[in-house]
Amino acid sequence: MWPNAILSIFTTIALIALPLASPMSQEFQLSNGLKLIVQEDQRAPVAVVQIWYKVGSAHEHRGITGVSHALEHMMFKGTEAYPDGRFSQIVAEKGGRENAFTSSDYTAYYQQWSSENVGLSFELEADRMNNLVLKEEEFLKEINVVLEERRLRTDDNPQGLAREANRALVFQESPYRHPVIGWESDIKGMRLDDLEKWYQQWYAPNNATVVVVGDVSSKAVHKLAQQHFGSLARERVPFLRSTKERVGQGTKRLVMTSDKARVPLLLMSYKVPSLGSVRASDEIDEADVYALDVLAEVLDGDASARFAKHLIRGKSLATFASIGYSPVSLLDTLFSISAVPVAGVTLDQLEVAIKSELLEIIQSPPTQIEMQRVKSQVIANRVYAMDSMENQATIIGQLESVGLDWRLKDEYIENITEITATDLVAVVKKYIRSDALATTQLLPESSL
Amino acid sequence: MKNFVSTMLVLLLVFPLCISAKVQVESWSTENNVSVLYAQVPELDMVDMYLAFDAGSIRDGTKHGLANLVSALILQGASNLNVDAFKEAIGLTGGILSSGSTSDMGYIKMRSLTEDTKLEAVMRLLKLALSSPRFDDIDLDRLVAKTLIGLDFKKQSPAAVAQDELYAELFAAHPYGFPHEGTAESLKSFTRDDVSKFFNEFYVAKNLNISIVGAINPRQAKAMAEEISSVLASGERADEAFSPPSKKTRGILIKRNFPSIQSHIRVGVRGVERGHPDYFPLLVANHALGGNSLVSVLFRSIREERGLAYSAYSYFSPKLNGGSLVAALQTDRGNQEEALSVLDSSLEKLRLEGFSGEDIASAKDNLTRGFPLRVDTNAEILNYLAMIGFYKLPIDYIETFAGNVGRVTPAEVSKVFNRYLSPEKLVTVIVGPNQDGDE
Repeated sequence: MWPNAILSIFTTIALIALPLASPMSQEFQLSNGLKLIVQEDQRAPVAVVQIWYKVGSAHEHRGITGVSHALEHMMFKGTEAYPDGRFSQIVAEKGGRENAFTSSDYTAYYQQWSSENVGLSFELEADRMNNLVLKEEEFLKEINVVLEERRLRTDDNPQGLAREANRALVFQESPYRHPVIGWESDIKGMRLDDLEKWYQQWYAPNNATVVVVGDVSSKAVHKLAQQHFGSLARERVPFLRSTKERVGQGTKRLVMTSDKARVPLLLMSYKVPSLGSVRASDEIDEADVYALDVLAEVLDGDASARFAKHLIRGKSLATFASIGYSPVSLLDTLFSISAVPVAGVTLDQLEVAIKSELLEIIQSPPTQIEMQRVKSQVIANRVYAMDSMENQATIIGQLESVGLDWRLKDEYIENITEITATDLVAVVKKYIRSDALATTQLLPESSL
Repeated sequence: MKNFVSTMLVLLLVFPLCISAKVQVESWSTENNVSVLYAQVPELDMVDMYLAFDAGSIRDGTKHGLANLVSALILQGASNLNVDAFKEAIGLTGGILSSGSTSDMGYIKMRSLTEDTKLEAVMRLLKLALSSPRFDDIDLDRLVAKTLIGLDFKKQSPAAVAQDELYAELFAAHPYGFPHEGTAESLKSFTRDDVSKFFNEFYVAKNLNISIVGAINPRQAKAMAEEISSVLASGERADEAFSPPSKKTRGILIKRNFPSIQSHIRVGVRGVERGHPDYFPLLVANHALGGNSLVSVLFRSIREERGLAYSAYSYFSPKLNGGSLVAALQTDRGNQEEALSVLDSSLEKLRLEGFSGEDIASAKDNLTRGFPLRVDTNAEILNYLAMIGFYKLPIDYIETFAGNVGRVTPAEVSKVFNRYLSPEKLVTVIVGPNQDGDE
């Protein structure tokens, strides 16, 4: 499940040699620092408008974890010009969809609607970038909503709890050890004042990227952006100090039991570089990131990949086995394996089998067929990924929000296709090592 | 794509209609009478195909979960290619074949680049799967084991437990009342014979609708549809599926203990199928109640005004025979009584006073003006064509959608709301901690 999503994030757009409908993409920067990227796509009379702020849980510290996410909720509570849910009423009446999402690296808001409403999106977003009204009474209700969200996603979900615990185990210094939604005690202790400060600090035109994909003209959109965002003042924005995660402390291991779990789960997370972290360091070759992405594909790209062929079918040890790797991250990230054993196989047995499957890359490097398969899928996916305007906008926004150039979405394909089997062997030797690993086993209490 | 012998095609009808100013739909029947819907979208060099068979879990009979298992087994090897060889062959084309089932439908979807050699290779594999699936015992055993673990996963989710309890009560002994992946007992009993028999009976040309969307011309689309339908046995049209028997109820409350922090609450009623005269008024009623995401009555009263839940919404699921309308929320056990009473009193108020004019207008506007967003990708256009074809909706369904929603009056909404959501028809399910005294 993960690797497909990761691949599709990067498999985009027009290399000139290909007979693709080449999308027109253009970048603009307003004098207040706001960046605008527009991609024209005339297939349907609609547009997606996203505004990305470079702030997320990675910018938080213990005590206020979850503040970016809580603020995201409060951003729907209105301004003087558009009070009390007026924003959402307007979007609904005009047939739009809207929502927002927060991650470790960014907070983003979006509307999808008829392309004639792009100016209205800008007006509403510019307004709540500067004029949000934060009321105590609304905050007290909304923090309960956030707690209910946490119960739903994490506290009542054994897999969610195990993933949260695994992240906190693997990272020592990195703020990635904190959950995006925040630790329960931090959410409970949060004050409106924490949100107010956060909003003042990070919500500024020079910390924002606006992405528009749809049936629009870049020139006209640029004009609208100047009209609505142009008068906002540039502000001083803090920066995220880069943290370097250490490896070599030994294998970390956590065995959790849960009276809620009915199915055992194995999580194995290796600390690896991301595109963001290699750019901040002189020591690591960026090609390592591309090789790790191809490694994930060879192991878990589709139903013919090694995990499916060997662990799920051949040896019949796992009923589910997948890899997650998100190279578009600010800081060092994880190469994470999640697996569920078949009945009668223990998590220890499965763990041994997965390790040997990873190291098998060194003994039997990917064959020409395996590399060819990954390449075919990368080439196909760059076409498939263009089907969704929302997907296109998200790729652009993510890259920009972790400090990368959005044009990397095109170069990424080229870089991926240059990776060889030898490169995969090298990254397995370099990163798939037990002193960079944290294992979490989740055991149903009834099985003990 | 190979030029199929187009002179052999018997084109019964070609109806152009519009999805938008930019996308036109054509419809025709293949030589062996399979109906096809097709939209040419030239911008991206890819093509999608959706094969919808009348082979959903409504065809399970007493073998609950069989339809779901068969749909998964179709793509686990064919002819001389075992599952490993079959999956590798697909992977090398860059194409995607996927399959699955719903309560009404068994489906296979194909996505490929339009490049000749690649599309031909994917089509060859798809035809092989349709004409000679292997149904090897080892694959059957693996998928049964996987489904059994899936059932255990559901047991650790209070939302999934609540959903199953609700459908079991709403639809009783009808297949809609059983989890479509089956039960532990039924799954363990399936043999290769069951699978082959089901496949041979239901995966036949007479039960198939084909939809095609992408950068291929009408001649190519016709050839593709012909190639697919001609590898299938003609077969017999499945019998008219029977409707869930109607029953008299008196407002039912089901409580289940669960080791969670939150209580999951669902209130559901029987709904109607697409094409029913009450369909559009109910669609609007549901949208105003809990479908119009951040502005619906439930979102406002449960979340915005009281902070009682992260998600409070309703969904309307029309099926081949009837369907359901369900309101759902989840909240800390300590808030359960308050949330339930807000939900109940919201429904009661709507029965007595109806929706406000603003809520009806906002729901209708969102549905009609938002329609272009529902068909702004090839994948979504494909899903719409498949729905129109499979559920035998009027060919101008998309064009007339806005008008049909627009004509719904507040009086009609009130009428269907009171008829379908009257107190004696409501089934309430609560799954959470400390639900003393299971009922």
